[in-house]
Amino acid sequence: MRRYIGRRLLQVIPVVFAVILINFLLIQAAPGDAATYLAGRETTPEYIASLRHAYGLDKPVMTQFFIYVGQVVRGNLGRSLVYGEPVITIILRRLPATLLLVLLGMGVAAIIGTLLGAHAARKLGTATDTVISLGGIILYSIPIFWAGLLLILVFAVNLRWFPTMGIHSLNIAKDWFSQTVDMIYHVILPATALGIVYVGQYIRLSRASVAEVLGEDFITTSRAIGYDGKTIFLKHALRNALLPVITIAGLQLGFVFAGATLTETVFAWPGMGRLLYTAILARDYPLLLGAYLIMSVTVVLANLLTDLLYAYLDPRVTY
Amino acid sequence: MRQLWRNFTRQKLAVAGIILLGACVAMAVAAPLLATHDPKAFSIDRYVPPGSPGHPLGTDNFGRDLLSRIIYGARVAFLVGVLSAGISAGLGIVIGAIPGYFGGVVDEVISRFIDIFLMIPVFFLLILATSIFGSNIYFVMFAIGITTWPANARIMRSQVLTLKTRPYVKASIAAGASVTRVLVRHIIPNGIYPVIANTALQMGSAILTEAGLSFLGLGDPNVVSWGQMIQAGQRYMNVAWWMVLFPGLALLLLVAAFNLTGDGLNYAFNPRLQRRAGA
Repeated sequence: MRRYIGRRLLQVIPVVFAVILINFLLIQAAPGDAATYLAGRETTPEYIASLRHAYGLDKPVMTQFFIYVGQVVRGNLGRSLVYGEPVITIILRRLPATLLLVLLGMGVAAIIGTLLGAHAARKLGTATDTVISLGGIILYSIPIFWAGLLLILVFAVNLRWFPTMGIHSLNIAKDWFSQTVDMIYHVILPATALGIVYVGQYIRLSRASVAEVLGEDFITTSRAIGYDGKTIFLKHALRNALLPVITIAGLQLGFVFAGATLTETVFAWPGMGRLLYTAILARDYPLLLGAYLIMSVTVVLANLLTDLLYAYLDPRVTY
Repeated sequence: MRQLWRNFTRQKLAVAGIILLGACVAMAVAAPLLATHDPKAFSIDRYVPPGSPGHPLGTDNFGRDLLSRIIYGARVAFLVGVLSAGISAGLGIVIGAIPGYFGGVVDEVISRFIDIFLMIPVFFLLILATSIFGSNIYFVMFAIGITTWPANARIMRSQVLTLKTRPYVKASIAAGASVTRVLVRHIIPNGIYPVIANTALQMGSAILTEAGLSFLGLGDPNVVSWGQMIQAGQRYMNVAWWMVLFPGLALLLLVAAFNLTGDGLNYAFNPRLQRRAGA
């Protein structure tokens, strides 16, 4: 197991390297000098000169690339133009809020979606299956930010059940309990918006996967032996079908973070997505480059975790 | 081919999807005939609610007719879907067929390459690229195309691996046919179906991606796109909810049509799944 983890960790390196390379190529291909991008609009010639020197922009392209890699590996992603702080500090401060939103939205969506999809697969070809499948496809086709706006319109503006934006109310007691309750109160709408779309995704995944397993020989065998349908379904079909659902869900994490970015923008949720949005508006390139890098690393690491979970759950995987 | 058609039409949802898709195509093609107003023309009838005479879906903050804007928006949506997914399919087929055919070191290297790109979160790359290079709609389509090919490449690669062992392909190779000929004449035409199904799905997600970029303010200001209409409506949501509701519904319907069709094609091309799906 330990060797397997080590080998999988090594596979993370080329992905991170590819992202750094893409970042570098984008800056190179951009019109104008990289230093002017990194320095922003309101700057001094001295600052541009110091950036040129720091990134070695007066040196050959290959050297520049290695300097850039060296800086990034040491955690130096530059300084945000808007916030004036190191990019890495800002991003790490914002990451927890995004992770909370993603884990909550995804978690609930995964459970509901997997169960619905499995149920549809059990009733394959019936009206129940058609309704669930159609529902899944429709949910999956919803533009996520639009779902968020409609939720705000109905549940925050008209019904006034939930707050429209943010993560905390202003006039809330400072104790731990009130703060947590307040945060849950704020996270419900954005997590629902994010979750709605991924319920559709999980319905599709789990329906296909369970249907596949239900057609296999060992299911027919256990049926012939005389196990009742429920036992077969829960103990054999569902358990085996969950594995591909986990893997594919892991591969889709990039899309989930994209969805979270849009959701955060709608709800003014103070996470990475909201940060990206302000960075786009201000054309804060160091922040955009850094956010892309950190997002990629997060997704790759989450993928790694999914694979390890898979290896743990499925005894057929050899390390 | 007839078998495929039968497999496809046997699924109610797939048929519904393709009819919906056909209706959307008709709407996009006949836009000038269907639209009652110039989609970009301002007027003094601002915030007219839906159901009003002359404006069935109401007007926006500049007095533009929403229905006409949605009808013209379908053209942009199709353009985005077809071009982005087309580029993605083309790249995916070529990049996937080569490692599948040659195997060995070539396969090892290119497969790793595909895996790496499969993991990179595309949306953030697109945000970065459009904020640096500008949000011209053709650039956005090109960018979506060149970032989403890995899924197609992976599908194509596994198709080639299967087809390579078929007798007619082996016979062709033994008869001295060139690599290009074997690939172009035998392998790609027979292995392309799952890529086609995936392309239908990708058209839907390309449209959603463009809408998402538009919502973040990275849309092309020179075109009427549904995503931008929603973004514009966000600020006026409390006075004119219809500015947000209708373009979103249009997006939902078109993307659902692509997804229903794509899923239907997948089942039609895969008889194993088909047999069990029954109806």
